[in-house]
Parts: sequence; C-alpha cells; structure tokens
Amino acid sequence: MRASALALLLLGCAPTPVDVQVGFPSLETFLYSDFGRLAVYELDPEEGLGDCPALLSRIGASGFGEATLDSGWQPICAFRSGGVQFAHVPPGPHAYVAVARDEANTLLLTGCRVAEAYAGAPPVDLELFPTRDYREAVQGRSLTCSSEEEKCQRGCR
Amino acid sequence: MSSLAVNSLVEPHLAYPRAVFGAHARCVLIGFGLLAFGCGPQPTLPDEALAPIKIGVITSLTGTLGTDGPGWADAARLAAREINAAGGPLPGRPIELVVVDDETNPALGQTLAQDLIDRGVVAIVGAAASSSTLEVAQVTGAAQLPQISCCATSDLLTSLQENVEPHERFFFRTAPPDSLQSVVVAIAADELGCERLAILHLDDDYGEPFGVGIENAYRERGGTVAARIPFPDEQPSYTAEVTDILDAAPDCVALVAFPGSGGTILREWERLGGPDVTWIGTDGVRAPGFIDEVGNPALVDGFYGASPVTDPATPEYNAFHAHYQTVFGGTPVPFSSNQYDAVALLGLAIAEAGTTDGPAVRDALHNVSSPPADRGFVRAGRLAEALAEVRGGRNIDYQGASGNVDFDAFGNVVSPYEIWRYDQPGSETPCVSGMALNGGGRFCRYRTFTAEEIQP
Repeated sequence: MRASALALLLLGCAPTPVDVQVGFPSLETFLYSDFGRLAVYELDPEEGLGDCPALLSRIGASGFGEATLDSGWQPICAFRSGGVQFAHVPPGPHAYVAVARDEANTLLLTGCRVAEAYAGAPPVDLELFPTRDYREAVQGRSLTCSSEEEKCQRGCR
Repeated sequence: MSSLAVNSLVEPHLAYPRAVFGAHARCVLIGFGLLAFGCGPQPTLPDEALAPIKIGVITSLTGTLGTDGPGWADAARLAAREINAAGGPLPGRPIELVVVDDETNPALGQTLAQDLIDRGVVAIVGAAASSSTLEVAQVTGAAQLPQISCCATSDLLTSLQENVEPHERFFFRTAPPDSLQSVVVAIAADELGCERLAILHLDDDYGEPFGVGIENAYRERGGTVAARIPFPDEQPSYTAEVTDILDAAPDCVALVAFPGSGGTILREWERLGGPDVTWIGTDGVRAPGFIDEVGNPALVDGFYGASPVTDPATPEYNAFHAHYQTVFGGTPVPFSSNQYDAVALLGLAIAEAGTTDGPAVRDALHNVSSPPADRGFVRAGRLAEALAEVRGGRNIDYQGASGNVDFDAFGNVVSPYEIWRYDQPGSETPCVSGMALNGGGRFCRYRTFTAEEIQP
C-alpha cells in the first residue's frame, strides 16, 4: 500500500476517488432489491461516450464482461444514500453501470451514467430505472418493512 | 410515493458508513492527502461534453388545472429518468428538467417561456392549457425552439401552424385537436336522447372554439341548441351563467370547463335547484380534480363526457402505467401518458439529431415518431432499447403510451376518442373498463371511436 502511494506521488498522479450516488426510483424499488453491483468501464473519449445503451443491453444478455472496476455483487444496503465510493478510478471518461437484482436473480433496476474521473470531480449521479421484468417479479409479493433503515438493520424486505 | 420522498433516497445520509470499493480505505485517505497538495488528474473533456441537456416543462401546479399538474410533472420526470438511466439523449449527456408553474394563467406563458430560454433550455414541454400554450408558442416559434404540449387541444393551435411556413413550425402536441372531440360530444348528445342541448363553455382559446364546434356539430346532426353561454375561468361564482342555462330549459348540458370552474358550476347548479339533466363534459373535466372540486361525488354520478383516449389498452400504456406506479405510486392522471410521450419523443429526437439545435430536433421529431422504421416499432417503457437503435443509426417509429403519436405536418396526432361516464364510489352501474380513481369511483369507458369513424 505504501509503495503504491509512493509510486503515485513520484509519478505526480494521485489516486482519484470517485463518489457514486446511486438513485433508486422509489423506496419500494429499494426494498424489493436484494443485491447490487456497480461496474466501471473505460470509454474512448472520441467514440465511446454514447456506449451506455449498448452496455446495458450486453449486461442484460451476457453479463458484465471485462470492467475496469467492479464492485461484485453486494448487499443492496451497500448502495443506499450516497454510500458508494471507488477509491481509485483511472483518469478519463468512464461509464458507471449499476444494477440491482432480487434473490431469484431477476434484474430489477438498471442505470448507466458517463462521467470523467479527475481531481475534484463532482459525485456521479447514477439514476436507476425499473426493468421490463420488475413489475412481474414483485407481483404478489408484499413488503415487510417500510424504510431503508429498517431493511438494512433487520434484513426485512 | 411522493417525488420528495424519492429524492430523499439519493441525498447523502451521514448516519451510514460509506462503502468503498477497489481499495482499502487508508488508500483513499492518502489520495485525499495528495489531492490537497494540488496533485491529481485534470479533466480532459471540454466542459460541455457531459453537460446536462436542459428541457423546460411549463405545467399548471396551481390554479384551475393545479390538481392534475403535479401528476403531469411526475410523468415528465418518469420519461427523463428512463432516458437518463440509459445514459441520456446525447452521448454522456442526461436530461435536466426545469419545471415551472404557469398557475393556469396564460398571462404568464410568454414570460415563463422566455425565462426558460434564458436559462438555457433547448426545448419546452407545455403548457397544459391551450391559452397558455398559445402564448408559449409565440416565444418558442420566434426562438426556433421545439415545443410539445401534452394537453392543449384547441383548434387555434392548428390554425397557428397553418398560418406559417413549414420551416417556421416548431409546435407539436401529443393530444389530438378538438375538431373531432366536438363531434363526439354531439354524438353523445344524440345517443343519450337529448332534445335540447345547452352549451356552457370557457370563454378562452380552449373553450370558445370548442363550444362553437359542438354547436355546429350538433346542429349538423339535426339537434336543437337551446343556448350557448361562455364563462370566464376561475370566478368565485357562476350564478349568472347557470341562471341563463336554467332559463333555456335544456334537458342536456354540454360543459367545456376545467376542474376548478366545472366544480363551481356543478355546486351552483345544485344550490340553485337545477333539475336533473344529462351532463356531457369534455377532456377538461375527465380528471380526479374535477370530482374533488365538486366535493360530492353523488352530484356527478352518471356525468358523461367526451375525451381523447389517454389510457389505451396497449402494451405501451401498460408499461408506462406500471413504471409510474413503481416510481410514484398511485394512478397517473389523464394526459400523463401524453406528457411522458412528449419528453420521450424529445429525448429520442435529440438523440437522432445528434445535437440540440432547434430546427434539427424539430425535423427529427417527425422522423422518430413516424414510419418508416428499420426494425418495427420502439415502445414507451423501453426507451433504452430505442436509444440503442438510434445510436446504431437505424430509423425508429416510436409507439407512445398515449397512442402512435405520428405527427402530421402541423404537429398534430390522431387518436381514438371515447364517451366516458363518471360512476361514484359504490356504484353498481355495469362498466366493462375504465379508470379507477384513487379515492374510489371511476371514469367508465362507455364507448370508443376511431378517428375515422367520427370524421365530419
């Protein structure tokens, strides 16, 4: 750890931490979600800034592929209210892709936002939207908790 | 769930520890330390490369349409959120909605539109009322900015377009004009057995041509018009107008009003001892707010009306409805689907144009809304797929939540119409389909027509 920090210092390039604000569409969508995953993809600054729709399509069909950074599947509570940070994102433009799923592995929410990592960059606001499968996946299920705090403390849904 | 509560989910919440991915938290501290010494990567893209695209939304959050305006604002937010979750209309550039309240006051229309343009919007969605929309159109036309209204149905907006050259037309709407709705009112009067129809209509850009249109359509069908009485909006009392109607002794009354004025008129009718007549309203009162304004659902049980169908039984509307419920809770108010389509179409048109330039987006609105398409339709509720198609260089034909939204040369759309009937909570009147209201009761679909069936 010390060596890498020293190397960065010598190269004149500090790690670039990036905060990601994952915005859930509603409390209901947060409560029905069990796991989340956030991946970062490096983009070609000339041609790649419009890659979000294709990335979302690819993730829905065949998974995350080779991401520059990947949180892996985490309990959804790791993504609540401003709770996500990548400690070091390489400089330049990236696509930030977030998805949420339930225990049955149904993708419930997806979102993508392009942002550039640089010193002092603002947080990345990443809005999620329900997938086509959301309504069917939650139909007939009932919520047993009524707030994000309750869900994350008691493990209810 | 209210939009305020939705927003609260994305606000920083210091009570919880931040999840850090990709490194030990100590590394982050080292990084911050280095940054404090001014060391760190600098931006490589120009400022505007990832800047939000501002779209103005002029809606009626207060005033006589204020009961429905918040729902229309939410419908706009839904479409913007769906597009933004797919990366935005232009590469890396999301939509930022700038929502303003016109108070259902046309006098504010031009000022609000100019203020939005000064704030950098590239298009305007709105207004809701026809009178306000006409005022806004004066500004957007001059500035060559695309404008789409969800709800303005006045025929005067078609006239506005007819009076300018095609390259000067920047107005669109996702609700059809009233020229055919007035015919539906006349058909309803016929079918409901009316013998003397009185017409009570707003004295504005929406109500005046609509009232005249109903009179003409009903006379053409051989009906007797007992009286046609205009009234100004937002008056505390309509005693004089209601008395005039009572004096004409109609057995049916066509009411062209907004929820506020319509509610006041129905209460006054009751107060003045008005007899039992058949009421026939329009799209202006097919709104939960109208029932709220009347105050007593029993007073309007069996109230009929004409309207464009804004909640068609299509996969596109169902997808919109499901997403709306998921995000905001509750049932979308009438014309919410039209508002969603307005923002969705603007997003897709900007994507197709590859720019926010007004004339280019205007031209693209025609392209993305209508055939031909390379791979069939793209649909409301699947805007990420639609954006992928556009990015792939393919022609699209958007099928909206409110209908096919194929714009003609004047920015108009064609849609089916319905005769509806309000049934109070607990009503046992048979109803095959309709819009259930959050507080009970429903707008029952009594009969539907295609546009072709009612062409004069």
